[in-house]
Amino acid sequence: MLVVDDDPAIITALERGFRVEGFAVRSASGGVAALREVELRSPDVMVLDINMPDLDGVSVTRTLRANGEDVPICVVSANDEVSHRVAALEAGADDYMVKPFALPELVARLRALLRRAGAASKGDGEVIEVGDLMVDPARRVARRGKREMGLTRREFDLLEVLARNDGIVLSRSQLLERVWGYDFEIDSNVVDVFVGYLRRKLEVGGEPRLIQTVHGVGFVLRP
Amino acid sequence: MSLRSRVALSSMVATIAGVVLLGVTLLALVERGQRDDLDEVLQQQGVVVGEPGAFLRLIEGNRPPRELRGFRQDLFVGTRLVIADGLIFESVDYPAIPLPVGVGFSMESTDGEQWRVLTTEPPRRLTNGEPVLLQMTASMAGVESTLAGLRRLLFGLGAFTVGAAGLGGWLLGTVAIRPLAGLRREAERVSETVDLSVRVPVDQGPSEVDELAQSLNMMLERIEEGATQTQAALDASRGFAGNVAHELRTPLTSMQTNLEVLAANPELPVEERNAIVGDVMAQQHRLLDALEALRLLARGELATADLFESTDLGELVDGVVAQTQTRFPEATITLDVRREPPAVQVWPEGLRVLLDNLVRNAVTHGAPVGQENSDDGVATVVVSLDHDDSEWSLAVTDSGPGIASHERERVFGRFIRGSDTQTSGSGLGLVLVAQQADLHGGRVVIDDAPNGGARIAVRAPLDGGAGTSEGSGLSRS
Repeated sequence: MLVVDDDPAIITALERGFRVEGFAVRSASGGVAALREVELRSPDVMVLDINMPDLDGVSVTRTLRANGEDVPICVVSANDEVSHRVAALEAGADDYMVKPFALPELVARLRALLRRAGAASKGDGEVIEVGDLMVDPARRVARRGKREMGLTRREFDLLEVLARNDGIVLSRSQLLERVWGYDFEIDSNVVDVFVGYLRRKLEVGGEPRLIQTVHGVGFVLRP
Repeated sequence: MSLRSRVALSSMVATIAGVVLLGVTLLALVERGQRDDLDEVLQQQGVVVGEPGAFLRLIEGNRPPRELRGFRQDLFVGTRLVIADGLIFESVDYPAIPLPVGVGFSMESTDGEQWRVLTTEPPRRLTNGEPVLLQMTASMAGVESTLAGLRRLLFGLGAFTVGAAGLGGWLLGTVAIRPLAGLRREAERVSETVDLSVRVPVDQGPSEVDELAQSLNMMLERIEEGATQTQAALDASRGFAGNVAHELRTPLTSMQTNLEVLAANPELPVEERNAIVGDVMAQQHRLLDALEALRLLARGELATADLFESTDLGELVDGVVAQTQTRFPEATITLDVRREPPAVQVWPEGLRVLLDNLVRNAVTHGAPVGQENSDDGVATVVVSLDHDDSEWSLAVTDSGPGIASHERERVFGRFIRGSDTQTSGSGLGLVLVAQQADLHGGRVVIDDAPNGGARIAVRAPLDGGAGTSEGSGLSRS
């Protein structure tokens, strides 16, 4: 695991905490160092601080994803950096946690992301079509009508799960489990955030809404 | 230049212009009249001299007849008779002016004296039939002296009038600016005493000055208002800073004590050690909550209109309810959308803060108490969303003991916790709710739910209260 933060106190505490949990931890004290570390050692999972002086977490995420690096990334940020956090998720980060966070929860999420990363590589080849939506898990391509949508991995996974279950309402916790691998309740609106991204990309050409909200229950993909 | 000098000077300039115009016109008229008189005298002379007898006498006697000395004794009128070969007669003292070349009036001058000249061709000719020209002249001296006298008179009168006008203007200016001077003294008094409540009198002088006084008063009022607000804000923030210090110091002190106990007693029994650690963590949470609430409050105070966007309220409420439910799995939180509002103009993040605090408040304080058969300690919370033509409304109902009516105002104060509350919240939750409601041009109402619990409702206009809310603290950018 790679921990990236510019604050030595946080790095020390996280390293200690993760070692106790049985992770092999390396740390980087800035964005540039983080990129070098990823190149050298290809970590299995990353905890990435947003606000760093040399190269911020958003840029790190964007650079990694642009290079085809799909290591799971959980960004951590102070609460007053909402826009940066949003930018990081859009750039391809998988989840976020707000400082201060509970270490056990971060550990649980990281373990889930790790498991998920192992499982996701073997997608089954069957193309899913719902209305004018086409999702091809083998090639990881999604189209609405003729328009191909550039989706980040987590967006794609979410769309795939919703499309496989078209017409079935999925609760937030079901989605967390199937897309992120979180088989525990978490205090996060990450599903809502990603549904928001997906809707934006699905409706960019003015098409009707595909992903509906069912109040008090969850979300459903319905053409 | 002072106002008085300006008034004096401008009245003088106006008078000078008037006097000059008047004088020039008058002089021109008088000069024309005088000359017309002379011309008439010359024409009469011509008629007299042109008579056959007079003409003969002139030529034969070679001296002017008595009557030819002129009709006016004060006026010299001379006569000449001229033929083609030259002068054949001129009266005594005839001035040395050139011989005539044609008939009609003309002006001639000799040695600085002006002469009016009339040349005519009388019907009578010489005996050999040769034509004769008759030239008559009269001195302009009389006219000149009349005009000079008139000029002197006009100049004197004009100078006097101009002087009088200047003086009058000066005096008038002095009178006119007296109320202004009074106003100046009042204004100086305000700056000397720094007493912004002073108002200058507005019915003391001419209407222009009174209007100025009113403007001055309006300005003073604005400044006083601004100063009062600044003072209030300063007082509030001083009090607030004091509160913050106290709120943070309390948990920090308790944490310090607990940590010191832990450090000094490595051999503490496990239960006791766990209790202390749990305590420290709880205090730390309280600190974080307070800090977060303060951050949100500050953010709300800095909110600008461009944060507002068209938002699906049902979506937003659903998300917050789902998230709060995962945070408090033991509580029952249900969403009741009576009528889903159309897209409304709100600040989404601010509204999440509002709803989150309402629900959190309901979960922490809304558990039923003292009822043997109920699910003791578990809150049942209902979030309902509704709207009418102009407003959306969001109500959160809990299953707790409710909020006593005398406390309903008080709970919106900063760091105020309900009097019979055991849980330690930040004391800022409802402050945030009130702040957000205000930002959205709405209001918060606390009353009782049918089951006896508290019901806190927020109603705000669908258009985000843009331009409609007077009390909104929002700075429109």
